[in-house]
Amino acid sequence: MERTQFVKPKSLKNTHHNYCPGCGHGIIHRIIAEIIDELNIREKTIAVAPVGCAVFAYDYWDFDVTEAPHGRPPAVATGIKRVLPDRIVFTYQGDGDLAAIGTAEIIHAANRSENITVIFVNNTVYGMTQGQMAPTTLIGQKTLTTPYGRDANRDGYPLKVCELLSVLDGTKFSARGMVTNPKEIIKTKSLIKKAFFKQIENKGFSIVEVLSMCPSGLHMNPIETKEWVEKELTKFFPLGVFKDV
Amino acid sequence: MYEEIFIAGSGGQGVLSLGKILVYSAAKENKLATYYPSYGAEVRGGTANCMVKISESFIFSPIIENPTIVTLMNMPSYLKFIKKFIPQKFLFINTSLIEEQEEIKKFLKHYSKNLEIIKVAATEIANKIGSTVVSNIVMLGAIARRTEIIKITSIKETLYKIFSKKILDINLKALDIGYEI
Amino acid sequence: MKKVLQGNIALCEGAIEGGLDAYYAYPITPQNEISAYFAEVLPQKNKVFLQAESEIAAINMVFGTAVTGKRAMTSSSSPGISLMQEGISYLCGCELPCVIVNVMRGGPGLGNISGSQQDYFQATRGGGHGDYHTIVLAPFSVKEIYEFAKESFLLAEKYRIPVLILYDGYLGQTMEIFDTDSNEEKLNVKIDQNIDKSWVLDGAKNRPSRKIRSLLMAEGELEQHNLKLKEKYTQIKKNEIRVKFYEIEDAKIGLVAYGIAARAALEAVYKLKNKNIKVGLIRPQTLWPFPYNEIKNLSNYIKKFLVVEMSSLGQMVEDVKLAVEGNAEVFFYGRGGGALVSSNEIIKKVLEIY
Repeated sequence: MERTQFVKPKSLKNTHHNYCPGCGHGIIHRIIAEIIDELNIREKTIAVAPVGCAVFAYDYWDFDVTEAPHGRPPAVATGIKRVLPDRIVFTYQGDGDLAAIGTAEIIHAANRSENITVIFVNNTVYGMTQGQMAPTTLIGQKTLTTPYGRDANRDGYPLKVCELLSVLDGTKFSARGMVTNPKEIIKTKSLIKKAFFKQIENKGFSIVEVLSMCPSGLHMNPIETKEWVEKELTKFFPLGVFKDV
Repeated sequence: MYEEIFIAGSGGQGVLSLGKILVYSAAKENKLATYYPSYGAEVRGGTANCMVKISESFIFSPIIENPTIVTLMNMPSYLKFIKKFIPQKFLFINTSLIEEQEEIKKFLKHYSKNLEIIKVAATEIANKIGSTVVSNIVMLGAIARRTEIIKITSIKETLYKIFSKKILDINLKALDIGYEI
Repeated sequence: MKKVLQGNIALCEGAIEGGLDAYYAYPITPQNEISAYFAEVLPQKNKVFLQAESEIAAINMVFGTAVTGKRAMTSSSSPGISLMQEGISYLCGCELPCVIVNVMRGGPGLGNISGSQQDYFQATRGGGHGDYHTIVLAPFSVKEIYEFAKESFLLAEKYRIPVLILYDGYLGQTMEIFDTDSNEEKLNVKIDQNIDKSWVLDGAKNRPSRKIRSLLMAEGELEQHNLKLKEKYTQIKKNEIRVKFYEIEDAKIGLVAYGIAARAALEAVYKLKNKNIKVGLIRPQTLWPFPYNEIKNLSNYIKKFLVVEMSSLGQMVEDVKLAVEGNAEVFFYGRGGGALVSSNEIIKKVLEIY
């Protein structure tokens, strides 16, 4: 009996990706592509890529993707969805893009309950610019711009985006997962799928935060990074569903 | 014809409406016209004003430099604008709210030799017929009669178009009374 | 059809006639009539109106709608347009058509809410980062605001470029009578072939997936893109310069002015004509592309140009100097701070240099 071991989702291009070894983006790209195949929405999906490492998402996904200025994907997605309300529109944003420069855009998109889905990749560091402090960097965490560790007195506290957005009436689904091991990947995939369902059912704004790994930015090897995310990051950023209405 | 009309008063006296009605009415007579209002913070400073130009040919700047007709609806605008916008033909003043000043009278005599000053107790008349807010239309009636820049029939057509039934009658009445002054 | 409209409302009606699909903006004086009008009218026409949380969001919503090939517009006034510059650079990099309206007010900083012409450099030099231009239209009457707005989407789509409509707060507030049937003051944009929409993102149905981007990291890729943009700008310069001349045939002095300043300048021209003083007016309707050659040609017999702007520094005056290439004297008269130039002031200046 023949058994299929591996199938590349139709929504992924047949190409190599340029992400670092141990990076979480590849996994998250793939589970999104799988979901889009499973929901049979590839032909009506328009994605908005961020500025940051995932800016190249359009080279990996095989559906329509646009670039957006740093932090502005929720506004760009709004402009798409408002004129094409029957398309599936999602943004894919990092922690710098969404939680620092783009805070106004994400809060107001959520508050208007734009019927879009946001995939928020939180790896606590600016990967593309060589590892500076992100809004989600933990207290004490060392980065290029917090060489002595993040100091709450100077730098404030890590930003809990899902919890923050959950209090807004416009947010209809808010959840946090991680992609450090197969079990968590499967769980996270189901969260993202649920978020897409919200959009398909015209429920309004949905966001899934994904705790992810940036070994290069965190200066750890892939295994250490994964363990750090599981042990340390989840202490401050608990997994789960914060809102589902 | 070429007329530069400056209209000023306080916010709520309908000076901007007065200017607009002139323009709409000019359009009905196949004339060309421009209207430029004061706006924003300036309006909240106490006086509102607008500039209207009516002509048979293309009007260059909508901004008034040499007004032929000036209409002033309250004391602050009388004091603020009369020396800046010296009318060459007609000055309409709302005597219900403006007390003429000797010094200004002398000034006008000196700078505008052929000026005709028309005094209209616009606010009092408006009150008598039932509503302060139509003082601008009383004044409009007087302007139409004395200056002959716009036919009263064109103004009436405009009033029919812009006012709801509820307030049309009182405005028509105000216009007629103003016209008879 | 005869219309009596305020400049800002004529813009709205022109844009709707031109096929506007979506309008996004953030409040700022002196152009609030535009949002108020669209908020009321667009929903009735099943079109999109949305008040954005900032000008930054507004221009990016325009970006999103432009990506789908629909016709998007935003409007603002000077400080808000400064905030949009990042988005405009991206729109140009990604070659997305859209219409942006700047109803200029006095600056720098918060300035005031009066009309001004102080954003000429920002508008014509790109404004944001990188090698790019937007087409800049400068209407001088309510009729032109209407006509330019109506044709702006066609122009934007013809070249896949943002079109900036630039006028000042005074013109925006001015109400005028005009006739939509008259052929005057139109841009007359010529469309030779079907407008290409093969780049639009609307879902990869029965076609390969598409991407829209301005990030071009491969070796030489960006330079190729820059050269492609340059070629496009060359075409625009060839086809789309619009300029009007008044009493220029035997003029001794050529006034150069745009927008409302050109109205005052025109008044000066005819007042002076009555005194037998020969002054003409050159009025660019497009500020980019700028009519360099047209002015250069005039400098063969006009040896004095007076540039009139509502700016204290003088901005367009630099383009006129570039145009005449030292072949004529270029003088400047301008007022900033939201002050208007008057015909009498222009006449005084003309008599000084005549």
